[in-house]
Amino acid sequence: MIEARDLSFSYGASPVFSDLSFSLTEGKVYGIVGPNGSGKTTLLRVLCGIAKPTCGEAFLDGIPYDSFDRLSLARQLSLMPQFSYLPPVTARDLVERGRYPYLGATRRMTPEDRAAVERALSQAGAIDLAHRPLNELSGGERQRVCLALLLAQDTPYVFLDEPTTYLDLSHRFGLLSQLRDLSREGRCVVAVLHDLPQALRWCDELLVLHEGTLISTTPSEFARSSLPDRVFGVACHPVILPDGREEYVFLPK
Amino acid sequence: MNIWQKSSTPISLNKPKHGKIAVLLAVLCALLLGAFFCALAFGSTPMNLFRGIGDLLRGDPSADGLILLHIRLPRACAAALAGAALAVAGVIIQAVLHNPMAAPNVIGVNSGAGLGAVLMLAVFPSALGALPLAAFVGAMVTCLCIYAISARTGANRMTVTLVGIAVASLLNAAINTLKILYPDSVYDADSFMIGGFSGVTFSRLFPACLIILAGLLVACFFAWEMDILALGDDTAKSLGVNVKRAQLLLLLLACALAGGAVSFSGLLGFVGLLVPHLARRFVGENHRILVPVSALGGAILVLVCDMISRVLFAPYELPVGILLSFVGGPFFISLILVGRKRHD
Repeated sequence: MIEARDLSFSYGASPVFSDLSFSLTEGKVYGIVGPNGSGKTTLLRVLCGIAKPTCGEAFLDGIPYDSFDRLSLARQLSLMPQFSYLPPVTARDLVERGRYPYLGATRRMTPEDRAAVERALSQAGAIDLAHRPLNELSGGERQRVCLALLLAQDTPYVFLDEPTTYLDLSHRFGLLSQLRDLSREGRCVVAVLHDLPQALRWCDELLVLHEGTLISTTPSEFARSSLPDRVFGVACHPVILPDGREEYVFLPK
Repeated sequence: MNIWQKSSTPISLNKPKHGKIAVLLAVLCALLLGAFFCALAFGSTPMNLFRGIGDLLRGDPSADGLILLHIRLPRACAAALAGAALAVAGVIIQAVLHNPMAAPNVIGVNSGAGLGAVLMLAVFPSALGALPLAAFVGAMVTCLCIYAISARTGANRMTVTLVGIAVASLLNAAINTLKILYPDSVYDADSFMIGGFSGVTFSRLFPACLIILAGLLVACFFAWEMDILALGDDTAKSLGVNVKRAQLLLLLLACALAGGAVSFSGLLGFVGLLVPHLARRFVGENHRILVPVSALGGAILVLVCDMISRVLFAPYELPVGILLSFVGGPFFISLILVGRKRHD
């Protein structure tokens, strides 16, 4: 379990968020939502240990992040950022880099590492892309390879920053379904999501960032509360689908 | 059909690319060997290589043997070492600065090494053995200045390059000033500024040779870090790399390689830019392969250019730095044009 205690972060004198306390458990998909500039990516960076909070502390299974060395932490927490650049290598070459935390002093990949790379490529639906250079892949294919890189790191906690950006609808559903599969395997999945209906549809819990504070809620509670109006200035309308499932539509007020 | 569904293709642990890489490395090694023997055989003075080798083995101090032992062999070794060192320094600097246009000569590392060496010659003219150290210190100080300015301003790729160009200009002005102030100590300064291998001896080469060979081995070891750094700081940190420490160590390594090369070759340009780009076209940006391929490619390029520069206008000799500029300049322009075309 990851436990955040009184986390605060500021850029110089400008606070981003303050005194956030919450916990993340394995086997769930968490969606971090909030308006632009609310600090979603910053919170994600703090939670995966690559940015230090200004105040407060994060704990992994009761142990402070600072007590872990970098490689040990990298075997527990992994991040899929919004890649602005991917080197012109083959998909397999990229995914192999996910095994870096497991390399020994010889820096040679073991058969276990190679098997983990193949497993990650297969799990992300990217095994057919393994030999193809990244600069020849479409946006959706690249995203699959990036997911494979994340999976090759083989961590119980995975963090993703706006993983559905630039993806068409079918690719979005594919990726979000993949994240659900990961949580069913027992991993804790935390994703920054912009699309509210998708966040409500695919996440078990929502972490809503608003004016430097955090509200932890479930999707159905969020839809029925005043939060959509207060945080995003929109109205949430439940819609019952023909199969009886409830979905949500957000409209301007 | 869900496009994200798991592939039905069986998991294969085969790595066919390893075969191709092994073939490429074998071809490059063969080319290097060929270039090395050509560099021994051809020069401004005609000689018979095999007779020279035979004379040396018999202990007969013939003219061919002496030319081979004291002129061509150290020169060929120097060309191969400088080419490999500058090419790998280019790979490292490009990886650390995330900038394909960065190279030891472009961002001023070579000029820093040159200033260190010239300063040492001016102040301690007899301390030739300490030249590699002075060149290394000069390269390191320059590199740290550029790195500090970049880190402080949060500079983008282009700004880092521009800062480097400005620093290089400043350092070249300092070198020229020292040439004027110490004309007797800084002998043969023009050749040093252009870059070349005439007059290289084993005794001058030896300390730099050790630094370069060790540096090349360490660069191969740190290829994983270069691969990870190419993914951006956040990904590198999440994969467990201490980004700042890795960048600093790699810059130190690049400075050791560039400083070692500059200490005996002078300010050779374009090797660190041209070779990594050519190598990337063949092997992509996997540094575990790119580093050895660039090292071999750099050694071959400088060996061949040095040989051509000796025979092109024989008995006159063109400093290899001039020939490299003739080759490197158009290549640099083509890079800009290709980049522009892609942008459009």
